Amino acid sequence: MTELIALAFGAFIVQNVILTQFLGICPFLGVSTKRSSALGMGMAVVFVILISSIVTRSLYHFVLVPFEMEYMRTIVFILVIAALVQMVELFLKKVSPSLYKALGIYLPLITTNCAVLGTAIININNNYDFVQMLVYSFFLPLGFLFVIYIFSFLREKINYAPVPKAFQGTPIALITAAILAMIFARFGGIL
Amino acid sequence: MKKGLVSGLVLLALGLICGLVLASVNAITAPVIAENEYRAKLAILGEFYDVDDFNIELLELSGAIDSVFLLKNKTTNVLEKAVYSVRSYGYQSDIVMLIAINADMTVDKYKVVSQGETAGIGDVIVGYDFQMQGENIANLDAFAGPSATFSANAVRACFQLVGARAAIDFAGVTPQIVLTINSLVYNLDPATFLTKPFVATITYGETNVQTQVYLALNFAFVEMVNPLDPTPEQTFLTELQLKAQQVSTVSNRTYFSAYDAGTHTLSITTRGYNSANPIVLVVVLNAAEDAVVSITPTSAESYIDSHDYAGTYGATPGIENHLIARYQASQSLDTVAGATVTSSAMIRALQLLQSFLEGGE
Amino acid sequence: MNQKDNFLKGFVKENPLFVQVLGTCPSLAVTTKVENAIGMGIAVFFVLVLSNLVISLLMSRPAWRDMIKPVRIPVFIVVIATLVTVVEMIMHAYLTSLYVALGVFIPLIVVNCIILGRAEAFAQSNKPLDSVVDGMGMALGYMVALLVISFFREFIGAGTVTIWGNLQIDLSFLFRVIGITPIDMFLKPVGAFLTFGFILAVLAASANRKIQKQKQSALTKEAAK
Repeated sequence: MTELIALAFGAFIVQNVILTQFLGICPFLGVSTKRSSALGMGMAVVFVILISSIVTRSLYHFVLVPFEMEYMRTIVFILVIAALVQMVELFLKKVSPSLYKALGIYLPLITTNCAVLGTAIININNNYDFVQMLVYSFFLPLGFLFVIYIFSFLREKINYAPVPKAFQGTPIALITAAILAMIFARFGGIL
Repeated sequence: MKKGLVSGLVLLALGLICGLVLASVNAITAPVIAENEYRAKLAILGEFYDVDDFNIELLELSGAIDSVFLLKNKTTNVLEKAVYSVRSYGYQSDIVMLIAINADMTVDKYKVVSQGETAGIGDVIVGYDFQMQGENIANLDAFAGPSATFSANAVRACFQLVGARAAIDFAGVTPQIVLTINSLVYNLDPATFLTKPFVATITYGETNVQTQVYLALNFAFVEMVNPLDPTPEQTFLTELQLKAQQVSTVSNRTYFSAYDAGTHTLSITTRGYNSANPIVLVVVLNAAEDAVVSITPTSAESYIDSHDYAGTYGATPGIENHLIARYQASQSLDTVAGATVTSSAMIRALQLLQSFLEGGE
Repeated sequence: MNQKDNFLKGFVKENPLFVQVLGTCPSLAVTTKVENAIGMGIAVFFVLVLSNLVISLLMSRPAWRDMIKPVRIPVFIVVIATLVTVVEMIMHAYLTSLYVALGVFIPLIVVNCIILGRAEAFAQSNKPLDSVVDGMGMALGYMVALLVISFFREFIGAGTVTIWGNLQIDLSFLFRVIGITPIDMFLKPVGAFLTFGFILAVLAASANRKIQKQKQSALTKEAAK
């Protein structure tokens, strides 16, 4: 049990997906300008990562490994993720058209979100059993949501700050991310 | 509809072509990868043991324990040690350990191979002494870790996992008791031969310790010849008692039973046909105790009354006196006269006496 | 455009990392050493050039193009994923230390927006040769961008420049001359974000200055009329 708690804590904060593992930077920089879209994106990512991890891991262990086709994993995983994101898109279009419009181009881009494919592959590489995989795949995108939501607060405030012209937009966002990374790094006791 | 079908076929065809491409590349690279990994694992194993000393079998597992090296004896192919590569999640990283277990389920060596724990706090586990060396792998109470709780718990979990697995790997492998009896002879020292009739020179243990021990008439261990020598473990002594009974250089049916230094009198008891009532030879020696003055046998052998051995071989008891006479005349002990078992008993007794005269103090 | 412009646009004008801001995840993760940046650059080069070539060939015949167009995204993904898997397997077998250093980011080349982006934006509607040149330019531009970031991070963070394996240039004496030690922070996530942000800011500043100059010269031209 303590191992699972350590795993959850690690996935959420200590080995944070954005600020430590560097997965999911593109939506992190692109979607975090508004709080509502950041929250919506975060929740969509939680859903996609959890479901895709379960599906890809099951496919890997029950289909690819018995047939000794482990090398097909990248193709199979990315196709599964693409299909899943397509389904989420259709679902959101029906259920919440405003969120669908707000997320815009970034919703189909969840397919190319490094965090989704990255989590699926890390689950395999680290030989997690089913429960460990569930814990990891739930708390990792939770960390993503946490960071992207905090970041959207910061970015909204930065809009009102007198930022030098050269730094406006992405550069100041990256500097802010650097300070956030410094804070999160303290959880690991390192700097 | 047709467009959908065509698209589906296109994807399928593409998938098949890509699958073939990948399968062929995999056929080329997979052996190379496997070779590299095996060599890397052997390199890690080489930090613990010299791989040339053993026959090595590698089990690839899935789960927390990803590989098991079974180290078997080169000649007998008996499992001697098992080395486990085990991982457990600590505070912020996977901790990979290598743990070596002996055949008797004690921990031989362990090492933290890789970790990414907090610098200065969690990473002290590298090279830390967890007090598990020599302990039984199941005895986790002996485990003592540093104050970095998550990291220490992960190491403890590693030992726990290995303990569970080791029970499977070593099931049915009984530890070999290596003990050789180099010689088993009568104790000819009159000061001690009454309570410690035999002296065994043995070689035992993995390090081939050589030592001498006193044995009782039932070949049980009495004490060390040299009090400064360490006493072997009970498993060895039990094995020694079993093995000594098969040695033919001594017989516990013939032994010194009394000694008087003042009168130079020696008694040798030997069991013949009637072992409930053994033959006792009372031997009177000269002052230097290197020659016999007289031998007086007392025997309750059952034949005395039923057969006429006395008539053939002299005074009653006939066999005993006959052999004593031959011995005193020519020291020859190669004749068996009449009743075989009795003769053998007498011959053993006289041989023992001869040994005493030749080598005794 | 001619081939020279086609090739060079990937370096400055349309640099995938610094201008288009694509492929940022590996750029922060693998740039702790110049060696890793070179390795990642070579892997992306291989995948991008070949994927551009294959996709351009597939879409060059009108008959095929009509068949593929409705499912072109999955088709592109499968082609790219196959190439990435091939690169992964070859690296695992023959360049094992680089494979371990780059880790999960080798299979993540599949979702590197640069490759899918070039396939969608350029390769599917251009001739194979043009696509190959475009791919080479983009990939080399990306590698140069990675090299710039990793050079700064490794030099300031460790005082060394590791070009390949044992070929390591130790420049820490420069630090001792000034009287400081290499700043370890730059090898950590903090330094990654900082370096990337500062480089983007520098590029933005120079771009602004160029626009200013152009505005000035346009105004003076107007005034001169």
